[in-house]
Amino acid sequence: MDDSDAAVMRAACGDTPARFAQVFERHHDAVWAYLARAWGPEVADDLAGEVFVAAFARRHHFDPMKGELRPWLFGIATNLARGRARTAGRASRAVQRLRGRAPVDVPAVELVDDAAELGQRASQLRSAIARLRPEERELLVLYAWEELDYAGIAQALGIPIGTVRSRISRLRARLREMAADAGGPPDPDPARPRRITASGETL
Amino acid sequence: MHLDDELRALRPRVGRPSAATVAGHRRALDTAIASGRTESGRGPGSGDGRPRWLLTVAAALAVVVAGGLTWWAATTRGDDDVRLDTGPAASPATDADTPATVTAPPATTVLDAAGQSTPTVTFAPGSGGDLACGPVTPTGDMLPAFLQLLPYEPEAASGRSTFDAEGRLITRRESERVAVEAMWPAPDRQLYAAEGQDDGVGRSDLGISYGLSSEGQTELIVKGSTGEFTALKVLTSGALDVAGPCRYIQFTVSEQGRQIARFTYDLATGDGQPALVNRGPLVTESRQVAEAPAVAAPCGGADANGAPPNEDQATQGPVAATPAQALEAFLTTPPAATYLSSGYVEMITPDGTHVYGVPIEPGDSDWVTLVTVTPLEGGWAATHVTASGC
Repeated sequence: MDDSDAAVMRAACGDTPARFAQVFERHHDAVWAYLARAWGPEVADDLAGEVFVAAFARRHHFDPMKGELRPWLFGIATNLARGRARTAGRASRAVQRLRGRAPVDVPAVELVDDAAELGQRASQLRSAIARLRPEERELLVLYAWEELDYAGIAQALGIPIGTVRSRISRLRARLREMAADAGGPPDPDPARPRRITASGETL
Repeated sequence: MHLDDELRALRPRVGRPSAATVAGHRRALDTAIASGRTESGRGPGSGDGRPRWLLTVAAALAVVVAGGLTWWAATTRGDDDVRLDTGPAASPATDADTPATVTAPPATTVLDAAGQSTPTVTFAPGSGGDLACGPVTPTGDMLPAFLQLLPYEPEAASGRSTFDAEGRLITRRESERVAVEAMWPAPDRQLYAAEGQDDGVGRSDLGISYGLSSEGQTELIVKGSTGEFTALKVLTSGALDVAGPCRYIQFTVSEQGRQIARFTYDLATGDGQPALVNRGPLVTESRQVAEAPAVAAPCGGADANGAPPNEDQATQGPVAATPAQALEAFLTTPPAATYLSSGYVEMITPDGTHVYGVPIEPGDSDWVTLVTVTPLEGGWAATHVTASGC
């Protein structure tokens, strides 16, 4: 029996909707972890179940020709989390506006410190990540921590793959800039963009 | 160490959900499965059998229809513009998109103040316009929902709807600070941005999402850097044949008179979700340069093969009459169709070569993509491309 995600989804869309339980068994923990990294464990506890209820309701919309199942589930999770953030954030932002401050939405996720060998650089990056906007953090989680490829990220966020590329490029540049602003040694990335003249001379 | 490797090392350790949490989630799913809950209408316990994408399309179009009908109702009272409340009107978001003339859309039914409608409404703007996009059957509370467009400043929000000479409907909601404009059908893609116009496509961190609200209404959510607000919120149903230019609807968001984002949605995806498409200006500015940049910023990350996916290669794009058209032809021809499709800066060198580049950030000296277009016999063609590939 074909036991692939696509086959399970086909069965769930047909005469055996109970097969969708297999989707839960396979992907629940990954969806929970994604939500936890992006928005915090409390959000994950609240929403991971809703993701699968929503996915079951929308199972006919999954098209295996357009991508894999997990990014599709991440996309549903992203939309649900954004909706929750909208609701939860309105009151706090209203107060912040009254105080004349820019709204800040920092997910309640603390970065682990098992990268201590990175030292000050890690501290700078942690500081930079904490200051990312929510949509930037979504992107960071998907590409750096969930390690989706560009197509998967595009599927999860509902944006063209070219947009994924440009946003990741901007995100890297922004992280470098913010990390540099935090002080410390210069960016050690050897692939830092460099300019080369038409004659091939590296500046 | 590469930045991506550094980031991976900082991956939060979040553990696993508790057994009680997993069990609760599983129970919720089992309940849904037992009830045969589905949005598609094809599963057990379905409603009317109408695919959700029809609802999606109808929802977006019903909004503009509602705007048009409101305008129509107002014109019967002698108003030029529909004003949904008494707030001040901000300056137009885009001068280039300001409707030129107002033509009356024939409509068979008018929504009353509470947004109630009779079953059939036909939106077919005429009077010189040729962008009729078919019938729609909206139901429910639409017009009051417009007032929710700017929840932070609802008392200041105002709205109006007009038609341009082609029959295109422009519905605007605006407050003192923020304006949102829905334009349907969306205008044709521009080759060049209007002078002084700040195209936000692909440059901002704004986002737009779409979905069913808990009340069963259809929402388009535009999320801005200073907050977020509901752009559209309607309850509707109906099937539409969305084809040609009618497949695109465009939203423009402005803050304090400055255009900060533009979103164009393809309503005819057929898969249940309007797709965000990039129809922004291909070229945002043109400048003469002594020397054009030659190499795009290398990508710091690795591709599937473990190597940075940087590209730097000669190419041969289709020949076109102008440099910008050659760029567009190159970008829309496989395999180059994956390169960025708008937001290029045109740099003209003393020898006449046109180099088109997308900066990492506006005004940046590092480039994500650079396409060189040179004159050939019979026109212009892309001859070289360099890109970060990430």
